[in-house]
Amino acid sequence: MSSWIVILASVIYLVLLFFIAYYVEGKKIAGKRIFNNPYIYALSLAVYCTAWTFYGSVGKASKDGFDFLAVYIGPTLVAPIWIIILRKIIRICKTQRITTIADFISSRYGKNISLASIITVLCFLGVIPYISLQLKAIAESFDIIINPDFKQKSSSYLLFSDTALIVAIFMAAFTVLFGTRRVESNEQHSGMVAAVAFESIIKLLAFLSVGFYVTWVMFDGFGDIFTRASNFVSYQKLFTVKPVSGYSDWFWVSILSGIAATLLPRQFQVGVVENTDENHLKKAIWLFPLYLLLINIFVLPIAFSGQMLFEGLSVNADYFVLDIPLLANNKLLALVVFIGGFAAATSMIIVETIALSTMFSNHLVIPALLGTDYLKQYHQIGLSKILLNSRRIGMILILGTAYGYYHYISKYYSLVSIGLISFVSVAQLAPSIFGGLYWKKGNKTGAISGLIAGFVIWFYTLVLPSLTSSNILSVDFVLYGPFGIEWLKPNALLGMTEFSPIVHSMFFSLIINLGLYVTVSLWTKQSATEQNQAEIFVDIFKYEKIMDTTATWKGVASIPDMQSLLANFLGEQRSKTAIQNFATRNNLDLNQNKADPKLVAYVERVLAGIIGSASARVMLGSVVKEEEIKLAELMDILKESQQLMLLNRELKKAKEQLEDANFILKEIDELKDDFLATVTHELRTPITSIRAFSEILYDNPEIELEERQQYLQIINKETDRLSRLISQVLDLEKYDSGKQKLNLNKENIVEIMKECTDSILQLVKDKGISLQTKIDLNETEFLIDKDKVMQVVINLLSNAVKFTEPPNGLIELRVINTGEFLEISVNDNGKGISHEYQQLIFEKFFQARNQTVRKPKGSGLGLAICKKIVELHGGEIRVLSESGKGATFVFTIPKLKA
Amino acid sequence: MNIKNRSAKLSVVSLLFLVLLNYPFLSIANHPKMLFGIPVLFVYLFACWVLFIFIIYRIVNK
Repeated sequence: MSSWIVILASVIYLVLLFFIAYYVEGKKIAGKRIFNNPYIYALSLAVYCTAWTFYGSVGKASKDGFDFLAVYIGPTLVAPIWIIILRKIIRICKTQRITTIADFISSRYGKNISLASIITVLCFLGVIPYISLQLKAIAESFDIIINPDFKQKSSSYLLFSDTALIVAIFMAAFTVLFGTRRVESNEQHSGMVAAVAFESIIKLLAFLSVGFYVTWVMFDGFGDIFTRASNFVSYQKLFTVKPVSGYSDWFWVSILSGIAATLLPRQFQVGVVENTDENHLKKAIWLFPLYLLLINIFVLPIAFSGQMLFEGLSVNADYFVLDIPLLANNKLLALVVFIGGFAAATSMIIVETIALSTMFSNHLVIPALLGTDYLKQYHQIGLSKILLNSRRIGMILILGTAYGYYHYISKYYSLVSIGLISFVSVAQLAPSIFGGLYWKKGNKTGAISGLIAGFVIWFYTLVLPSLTSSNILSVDFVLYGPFGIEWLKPNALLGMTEFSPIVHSMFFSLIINLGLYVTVSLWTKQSATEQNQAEIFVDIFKYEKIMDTTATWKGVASIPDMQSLLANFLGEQRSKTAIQNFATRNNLDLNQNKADPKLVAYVERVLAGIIGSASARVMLGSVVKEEEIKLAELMDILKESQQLMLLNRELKKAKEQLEDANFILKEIDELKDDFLATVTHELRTPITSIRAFSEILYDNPEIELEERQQYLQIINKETDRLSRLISQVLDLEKYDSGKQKLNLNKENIVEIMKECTDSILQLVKDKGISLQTKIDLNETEFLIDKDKVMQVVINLLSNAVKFTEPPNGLIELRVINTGEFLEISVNDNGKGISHEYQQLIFEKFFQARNQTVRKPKGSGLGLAICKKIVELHGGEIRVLSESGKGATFVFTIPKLKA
Repeated sequence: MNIKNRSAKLSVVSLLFLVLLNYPFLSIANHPKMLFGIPVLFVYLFACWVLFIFIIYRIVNK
């Protein structure tokens, strides 16, 4: 295929990437976050699959069969645990504004600058070969696609030896454009993330289409390929994992990959820094494994097809994916594959470069500047330019070094072996990160010793041997050990030859790293800042809510100092608004010259988001006369804030209760008002008639005696009614306030009933109705208040008299004994009470308020008082009635022991 | 489902499949035999993989 088509396609693809990134950034600035969704997040995590996956897996599978899969099984198994670990890391990074993995570790261990710098250097050493691998893949695939001559393949097939260089330059341009738009490194690169997600789709589709083509167009499905391959004796060993050493390699490589998929700088960048919503993890933990499965399903079929198709030819198995379509002369598919591989490589380069360049500027350049007077001189102009430029220089430097590494070293290695070397280096971060997340005692000295020892072993056992292939080092070093010392052989330390070189290195470096981290931590002490940070990191879910308003600085600082510090990076205007907003949020007074400790802590966090926590602390330390806060003090502060929150909650609760009580009081008050209104109304009626008749008598002295007698009788009656009403109201008040006491005595109930009927008999006779009494008791003595019970019975009887009409009117008083109760009922055959009123009639003045229901006869307090009396005795009163069929009032009184 | 419970379930599933996908369980399928013309190990690994994804999906979507 002519090279200009391939170049054109690549350029179009890159322009498309630029376009996507620009478009999404534009949308974001416009306030639209349509690309902020879990699918984009999951796809961006697939930046894990690089050119190594795209080309290298097939190469590795052709050589070692299933072994390559461990690299994807590991991350698959780790993904669900991300919901625990990654969520915690994300939460910590968001509250502490941590933007790189180096910053994460240095923050945890007391915001130590040297720790951050060490990790940055180590990440550079570990990851740059990995970037160079991508350049290598692009360069070699380019050379293959434009010159597909399978017969004369040799190591000299690089026609355009500068392909890698051109790619490196393009990548540098892209990352500089999209990775350094704003100075805050915690500002998310949504455009870049969208572009990476897009690249993930492209590489997957490209790989699936070549897989499909090979499996079903060139061959007749999975079964066909495997069956044919099984006829070749040499391939059969590829159908299984090697027993013994194969199993342990399988296990360790999957663990290693699981760690790498979490901690590689690019994974940390997309998984933590670029995470916009923790809930996206929920989808990512199954989408990411699904992605890995899909991109791996055709690897073995392609590997076997390649082996069979190129049997006898010296074709690099790493590029079977590209070679097979070329062999079949399917140029379009070959171009698609090339673009897929290009996407896999560029996405990795972009993200890794952005992550590393932030580390470069924040943990190498800024600390170096902090050490000199340089920063003080530039205090006025704004450091943001320096910072951004150092990031840009970092990117160019990284890609330049990667190119150099490619040129001198990676050419000689397969894709997978270079990648695994990087994995082992990044795994060195695991003890200090996971330890730091869950173990408060882990300290800086332990972390540094573990890290350095681990990296030295990694360098010795993996990097140095790799240099022998390019003749930088003598092969004797690997074969016989340094100076002929056998037990120091880099691939067989202490004579251990069980493992493959990768697992061997991983085993020794990690075990010594972890061992030193734990033991040194146990035997040395933490500084105060370290203790504070350890507390916050391990218990982040407890503290995150109060972090924003908690002071972690103790000391004197001035507000103008704070402002000019921020202005260095954000500019006058933005820093002013930032401080003002924080002050309003937290009710701080900005007119004082002295800055509130909370404000100082806030400024530190903002600075940390820009230049990393360690540098931020140093910069802030230059303007704040700090006294170190001891852990105990910090805990006090944190606890105080927590207690304040608790107190707040309790206050709220108390307030609610008060409101409830107030509501009830208001209701009672209303009832009282109501009651008063009714009482006065009831009082006025007799008074009016007394007044009227006495006036008549006064005005007409010549009125006849008989008539005069009649009027005086009315006045008498009304006065009686009035005094009765008043005494009833007073009575009721006594019951309501609980002042009324019962005068309990052993009484003979039969006698009491007799007295009641006697007192009412005259009324009954006058009205011309009849009264019957039925008493059915096995004992007659009860402990009751005689007067009160009589009051109830007489009241009920006289009510019955009022509502029964002659001549058939019949009233029945019945007294029976039901187990625990004495039950007294008064039955009449009057007009009855309809259902809806049966509850209401026991309320005060019900009758008065509902004069349409019945004609008022009496005060309307009688039944209310009856109810009170019965209840005071511990019994209850109710009415059974149907409209037109009479009524039965029943009340019970429990038998009390004398 | 409360978060702690879900995390515990997810961890257990991860551990279970770590066991299933390693020695000695792995040795059950580690033979150069074919199943429907496909190596047994291939079938075993990818079947486990699919099952694993499905279980995780069910846990998070309950």
